[in-house]
Amino acid sequence: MEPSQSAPAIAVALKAVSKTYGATRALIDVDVEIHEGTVHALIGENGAGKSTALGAIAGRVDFDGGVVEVFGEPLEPGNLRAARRSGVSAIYQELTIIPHLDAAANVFLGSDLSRFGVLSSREMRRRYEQLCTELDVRVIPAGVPVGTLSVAEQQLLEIMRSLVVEPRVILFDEPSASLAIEEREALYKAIEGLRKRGVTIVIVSHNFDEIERLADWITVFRNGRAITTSRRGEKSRAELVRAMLGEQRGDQTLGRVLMDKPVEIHSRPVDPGMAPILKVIGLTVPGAIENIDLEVKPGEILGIAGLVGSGRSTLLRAIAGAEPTARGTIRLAGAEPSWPRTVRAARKLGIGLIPEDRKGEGLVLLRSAADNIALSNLGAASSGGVIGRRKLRAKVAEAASRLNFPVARLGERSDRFSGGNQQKLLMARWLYDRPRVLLADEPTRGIDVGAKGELLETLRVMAADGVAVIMVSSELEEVLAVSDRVLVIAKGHSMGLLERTGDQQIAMEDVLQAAFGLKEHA
Amino acid sequence: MSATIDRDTTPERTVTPAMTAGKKLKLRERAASLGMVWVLIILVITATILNPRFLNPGNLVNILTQNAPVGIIAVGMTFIIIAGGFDLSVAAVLAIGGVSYATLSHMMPAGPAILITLAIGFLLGLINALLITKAKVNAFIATLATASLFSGLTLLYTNSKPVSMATGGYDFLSAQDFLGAPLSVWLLAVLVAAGWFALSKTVYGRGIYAIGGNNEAARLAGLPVTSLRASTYVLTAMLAALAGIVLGSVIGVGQPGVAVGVTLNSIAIVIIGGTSLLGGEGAMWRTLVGILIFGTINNVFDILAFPQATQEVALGVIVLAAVSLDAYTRSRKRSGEA
Repeated sequence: MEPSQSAPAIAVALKAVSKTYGATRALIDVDVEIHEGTVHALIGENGAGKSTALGAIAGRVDFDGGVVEVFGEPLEPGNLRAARRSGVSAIYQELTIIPHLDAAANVFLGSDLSRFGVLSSREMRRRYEQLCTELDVRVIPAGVPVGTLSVAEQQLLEIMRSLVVEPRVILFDEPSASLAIEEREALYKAIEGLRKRGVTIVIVSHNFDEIERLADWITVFRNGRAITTSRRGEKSRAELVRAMLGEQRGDQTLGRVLMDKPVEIHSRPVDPGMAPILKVIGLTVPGAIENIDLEVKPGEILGIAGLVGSGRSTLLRAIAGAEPTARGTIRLAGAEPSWPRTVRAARKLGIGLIPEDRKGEGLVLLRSAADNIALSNLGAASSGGVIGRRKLRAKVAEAASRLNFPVARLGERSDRFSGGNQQKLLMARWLYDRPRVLLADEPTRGIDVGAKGELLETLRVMAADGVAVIMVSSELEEVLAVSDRVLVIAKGHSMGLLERTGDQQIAMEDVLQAAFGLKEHA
Repeated sequence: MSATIDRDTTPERTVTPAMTAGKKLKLRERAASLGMVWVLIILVITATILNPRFLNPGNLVNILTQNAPVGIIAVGMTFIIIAGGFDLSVAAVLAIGGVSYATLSHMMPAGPAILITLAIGFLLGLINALLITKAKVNAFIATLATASLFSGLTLLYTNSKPVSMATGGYDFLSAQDFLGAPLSVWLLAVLVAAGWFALSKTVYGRGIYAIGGNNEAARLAGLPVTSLRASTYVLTAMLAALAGIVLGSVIGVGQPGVAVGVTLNSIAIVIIGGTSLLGGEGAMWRTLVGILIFGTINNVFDILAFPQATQEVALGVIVLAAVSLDAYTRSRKRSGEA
């Protein structure tokens, strides 16, 4: 939908807004005008300033220069309540839902109930259902405990909650990041519904499909500045990526994956006659996956594709020894050990895991980057249990430098690094401690554009070293770009194996058809 | 085509000003991490003013001798706390150690008596470890319960009466000197040094920091998290039994009654040094600083003949200061990263 042509009113105006954190300039003289009744996307790399700009409008960020005007009225910096009074409402990625309360109670939580006089639960239900219809979403039963709902449904409740106070501007911070692809539709519909009602929407997003679908206006941020603002369709995806990364970096390989067509990262064909190093037969994890077979050869990347909840992560974790209830037969390099029931047992077999949740399960954030690389095998750089400092440093630096990790910063605590560099630490761990089989669970989740392509190439580097790689990602394009073969699973069952033929990448349509069970592949 | 951005990490691409800020932050952090060393220096200066003979070797040896038992336990407690755990049963194990050693002194030479007592400590530590790692009982609750269990059994066994120690050199740890200090002080020194080495130089030590910092990450990296955690409780219980032997050789009897203060003091010593109760951070040298601060306060107050109660007040204030400093540096670090 095109924004209204008849001199649209300005809902929010940022005028020379600046914000400095310590010595970091998060926002530098940012000028953005947001037209009433439009969807305005703020995009940019990690740390580019888009979330800070959103925070300035929300009254969450106490900016120190410039003015933010909401419908012509200047906003007091860093005053959440004042922003809310001016009609600004924000929805963050971390949901503020209370799991034990029911849906209706969550929606009216913290709202000024006296607006409705003494509110009876019947009145609440009525208003609740009204909100559902206004949003044009399927009605979530008002009495259902929110903890039992999906993340997508919880998010819709959050949006409904923001509507209770009838805001004129709603800010979304990466609303779809925690949603599965198939769950995003309801969110998009809700946002479109809000626009129809004349609500102004500002959305921080990193998903180009989403931006192209929703946004009337797009502002690109880079290094704290608003670089360019354009209408929908005015700039191609490639031009936007280039604006985000800067001319030079945008042209480098880094943004490739995010360009219009994923470029072939795949390099060298695997010898078809080679024997698989890992063979899994009849793997079952009660309640999650059933009777799955797979095999992978040294130097090969096997992608696992499937929707959220299909059991793809469980499959990976079972092979890594992290699912104690797993049953099945495992053949590793000719031997047939018993199924690994602890991660330690799996690691002794030569299986390494890159966990999905980088911070929660992957890194010891308080420890140095070097320690985190060496974590899985501290013994490799020690004799008699005593760590050889120099040996450790040399081995760790070697692994880190192969991934372009800043070697000079290896002594710094790992919580000091960006998501991309943290992910590199996890990958470097398995260059330092070479496994025979590497399991990568969502290796690019939460990584900015710049580092994404680099990380995928890293998997290729590992495979080229003769490691057998199994990779799970919710970004299907990435799975297709790096995998030699793709195993599609749905509801814990294997739906077929797709193989690349020569140089031809596996078609996305085939994967989706298999994932939705439309077509059975041999 | 979609991708998400990690919003809560450092914007790394802002170059020069951010880097100088990083350096400043590090300096400030370093000063803060040494915070309790400054406190120790101030305490020592104050003590020297109040008592010119404070720094006499005799007095210093005296301080260390008095605090050898609690110091030995604090060495073990450092391992437990860095690994993210907690142990409330050490005073009870200490009592068992003293009673065991005194009882055995009537039956056998000192060597075997010590070994058997340490074996008892090993078993008691194993009970704690199994409860915590296998039965998954919260460490606080598990050791609260075993503290009561162990001390109750000791009182039953001894009929609540002290057990006298046999004569004939069983008190050698406190009675024999080496280079002007009793063996117990040397024992403490060796244990602190060994603990420092194990924590900072060995694979085992890195594992302890890793499970305290992020147990799940350590597990998924393939570390033997259960045995690592268990080892800290076993080690500490053995050290507590050893502390019981040392204390027994000072007072000449095995006391079945539990000095509850020992547990709290050993934890306080670790915390005073600046090791974080949240786990994953800390060091053995910090515990040494904690022992010295603790000993200095006791000594000064004793010399000035202040009542015991005032010592407790002072200790409380110092522990609060240490914990607040820890919380403060933590929040600073966080805001520095925002």
